[in-house]
Amino acid sequence: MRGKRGALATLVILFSLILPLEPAHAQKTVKAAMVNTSTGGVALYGLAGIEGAKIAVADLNASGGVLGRKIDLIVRDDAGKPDVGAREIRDVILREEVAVVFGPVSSGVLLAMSEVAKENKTLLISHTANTERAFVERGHRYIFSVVPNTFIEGSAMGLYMAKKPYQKYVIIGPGYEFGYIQAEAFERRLKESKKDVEIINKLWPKLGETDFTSYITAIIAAKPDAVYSNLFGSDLIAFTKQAKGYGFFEKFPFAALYDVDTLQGLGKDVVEGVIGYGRGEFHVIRKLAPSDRFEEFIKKYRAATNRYPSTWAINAYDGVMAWAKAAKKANSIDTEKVVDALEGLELDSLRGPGRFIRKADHQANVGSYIGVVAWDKSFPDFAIWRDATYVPGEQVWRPEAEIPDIRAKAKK
Amino acid sequence: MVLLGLLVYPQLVSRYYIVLSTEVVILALLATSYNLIFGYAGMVSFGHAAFFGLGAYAMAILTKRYDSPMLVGLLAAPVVAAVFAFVIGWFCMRTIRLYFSLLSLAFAQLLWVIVFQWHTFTGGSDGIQGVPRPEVLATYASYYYFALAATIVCMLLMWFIVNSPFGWSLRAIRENTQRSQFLGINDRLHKIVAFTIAGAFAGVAGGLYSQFQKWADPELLFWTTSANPVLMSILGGMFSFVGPAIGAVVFVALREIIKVRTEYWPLVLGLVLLTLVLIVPGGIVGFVVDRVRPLLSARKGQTSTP
Amino acid sequence: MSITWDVGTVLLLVMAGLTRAAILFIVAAGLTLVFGVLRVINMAHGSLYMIGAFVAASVIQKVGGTWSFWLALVAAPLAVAAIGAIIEGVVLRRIYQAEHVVQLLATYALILIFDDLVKMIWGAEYKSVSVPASFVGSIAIGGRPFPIYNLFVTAWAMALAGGLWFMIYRTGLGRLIRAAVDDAETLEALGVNIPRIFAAVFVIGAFLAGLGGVLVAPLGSIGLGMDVTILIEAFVVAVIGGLGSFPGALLGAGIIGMMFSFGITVAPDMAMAFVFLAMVIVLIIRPWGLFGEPER
Repeated sequence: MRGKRGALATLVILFSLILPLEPAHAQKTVKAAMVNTSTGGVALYGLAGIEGAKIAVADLNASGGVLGRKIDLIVRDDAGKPDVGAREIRDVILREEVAVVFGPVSSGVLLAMSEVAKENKTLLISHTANTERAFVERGHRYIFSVVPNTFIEGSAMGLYMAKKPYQKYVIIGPGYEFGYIQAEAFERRLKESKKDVEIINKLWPKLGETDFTSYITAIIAAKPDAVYSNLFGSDLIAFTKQAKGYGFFEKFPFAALYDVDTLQGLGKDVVEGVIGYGRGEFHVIRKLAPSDRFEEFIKKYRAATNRYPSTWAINAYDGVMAWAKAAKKANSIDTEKVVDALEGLELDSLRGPGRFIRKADHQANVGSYIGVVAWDKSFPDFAIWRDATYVPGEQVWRPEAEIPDIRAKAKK
Repeated sequence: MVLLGLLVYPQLVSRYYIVLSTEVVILALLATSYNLIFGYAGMVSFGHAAFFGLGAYAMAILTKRYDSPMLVGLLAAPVVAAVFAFVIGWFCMRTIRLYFSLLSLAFAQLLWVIVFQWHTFTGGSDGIQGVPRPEVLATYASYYYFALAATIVCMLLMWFIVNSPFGWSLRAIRENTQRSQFLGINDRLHKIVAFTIAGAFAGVAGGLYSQFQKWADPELLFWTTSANPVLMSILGGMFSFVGPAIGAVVFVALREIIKVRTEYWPLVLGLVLLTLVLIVPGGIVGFVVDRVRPLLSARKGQTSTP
Repeated sequence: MSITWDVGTVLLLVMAGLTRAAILFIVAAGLTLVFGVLRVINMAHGSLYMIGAFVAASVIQKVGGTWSFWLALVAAPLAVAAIGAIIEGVVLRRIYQAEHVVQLLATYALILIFDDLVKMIWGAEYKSVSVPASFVGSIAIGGRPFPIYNLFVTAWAMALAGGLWFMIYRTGLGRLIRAAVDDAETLEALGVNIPRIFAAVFVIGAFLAGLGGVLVAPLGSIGLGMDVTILIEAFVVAVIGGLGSFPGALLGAGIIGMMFSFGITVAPDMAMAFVFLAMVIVLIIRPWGLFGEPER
């Protein structure tokens, strides 16, 4: 039996080594966690979100924190993978006992994290990942969105492209939740708004793909009138660089998520004349809804990172502020009370006034920003947009009446 | 006595440790199933995670999409895994040594690609979320007991198999294939059966895992996941029955201890593994020596010690 | 799904496939060379490729200007070769005689270590490198634009193939290498310094991996995780061509490159599956690959 006893001894020793891992309970601070992506293809957006959240927490702590308690922000990496994200959020909930979790970049990760938040009754606020399914079909009491969801974004672009004369489209997007769902919304609204539109091909390279050559040649072979894409970040950077060499952008009108991080990443490799869309572009906000508070934020962000803030940073800031405001309104950190306060809450959003969270799907009425990529004298290092517009969320979001039906069908 | 400890301990610790222990229990089952073919039959498969993943998906798809009761899923998982294991095993047994490892890897990757790409059926890269769990097992503690019970049952079954005439034949095959053939043992058939059984138990582990995490994800089938049972078997000792289970405990404990101190825990894990492989005698060197010694003594006409 | 199959389209797909094959060949050649001579499967080969890309990105960003790419083309593979020399001396030398599983685990440990080291040194973000100024733009092939840089990469790979062939079949070092593959023991008995040859071969393999990394840098994004992707692909190529066979790597790369190029156009969801299926079929029917020889 020596083997068994040795085994038991090993077990005991190992567990006694882990026990000191229990963190000391501090009552003076309140813990908040951000589970975001700091490694992998979408790290670009995750790191921006982390920075935005840090600035928000610093701002709050500078004026005494939330309800007199300073905020301790715990940052974890989900590596863009649902299994890692689920594990990290469970860790921060069970071990660190955080009051709120701010959401990931990837919609796939969001769905996994949402389950854990639900089973533990912990508040989860998404500021980047935006699949509508997380808020409607799989929605629950504890999840909120301060970012335009896929329905809003896809529909806004569907309306926009419907005004153009193109009939045959190829859709190319990352092969995961966000890509499929947002393209679905786009296709639906496009076809509703314009007859005789045909989607001749759909391509779904995997998220994080580095070589798009075969996809580019496939699109060229299919000869569409225009190409719609929800590629973003590093994927879009790689795609743009590679497609240029094939004369792609001279042949096909192209629309994709050319947000500030992507444009800064592309630098001189950018192509003018393509359509870009996003969820909070600072250069558009400056024109349409300027404010001192926003300029302050830009200044702080540039001081910290030497870059301009992208929408992911702006939204993360908004997310943290939304929670803080709700906690102040509820006069409590208790999740149930904060959740009640968040429903219907009017937001002090960096993106402008008039933003609030509706009760039906916990979605903020934030909308889509659309423009055409072009160089601007005020920004020598990266291109921005011209002819930019903003489509308010409440113009294109899912009608409230549809939501109960969808939820009922999902439960079945 | 150990059993008593395992049963009582959830009452004493926080939910965090219960969750951790559940993971350890399931991984112990996976590692032990792997060792059936690794330690006992001497086959180095690099695709074992595929059966784990298939079991997880079988459970997830049946319970979520077809509203099957959880027990049906738990029975289906090993069956699905076993079917694939049998087919793959049949092909793999035609090759030897390095090519066996490569083929097991190739099959696993093929399955991974199919699961990854077939997003209408498997949920693609997003996996399957929200796997339902029966009400009675809703809490972390209750699921821990369930997983523990299932694992103990499976371990007992494997213990019987390993100590049966079949199990002894496997050891004989591992030591010296030619001699066992002379003794009338159909080594190919034995190995295929062992591979299938190992796959089945890995499938059970997978089914338990997807219920535990409430999701199934293609990463479960990726080749880097296959490295884990290999690691655990070696860490804990591949020539004893409980070795891999110990390895699972060590692996998870190591991971948790390191993660608290640094985000660079793969680096530390890599260094530990490298050190183990290069310097520490016994585990790895012993493996090599054990391979050589029976061959030498066989030539001298002695029976090999198992 | 409507594709207009005309000569221009086919030519485009062939050229795109060749570009992909070029990178695959450069990486797989290193992998297969190391296996052929040292009988070791170096799982960390992909990590060396990734390091080459990151080093190139740093050089290009820090130095800047039109010469930076050429500098990177020389510096990065050399840096990776140096790392290869260290790995060979510290790790590999101890496990040449060990079982394959030991070698696989040791080199797998190296993947874990290198991944985190790269993360520590370069950070987690993806990097982007522009196409060098000399190769910007396109050239018309079959009436359609094709990036000049891709042609450059393909040409490089062909030159490399020729150079390697020359080295292996026409030089003294090559003769020693071939002899070491056939019968290392006798060679040692004849007084040849086998460890030196092994080290040299491994360093050459690492150099090739680094070279692949530099060349691929302007083609796409550079990030963590590119090591695992290329490793699996190089593996497939090497296995199909025959582990240890250098003409096999060439043919294997060509086949897989074309499979990807045409596969994604014709059946995008199944292209990757076909590639692994090919590997499975080869391993079942002819495990030592198209050009390989059965392991003795």
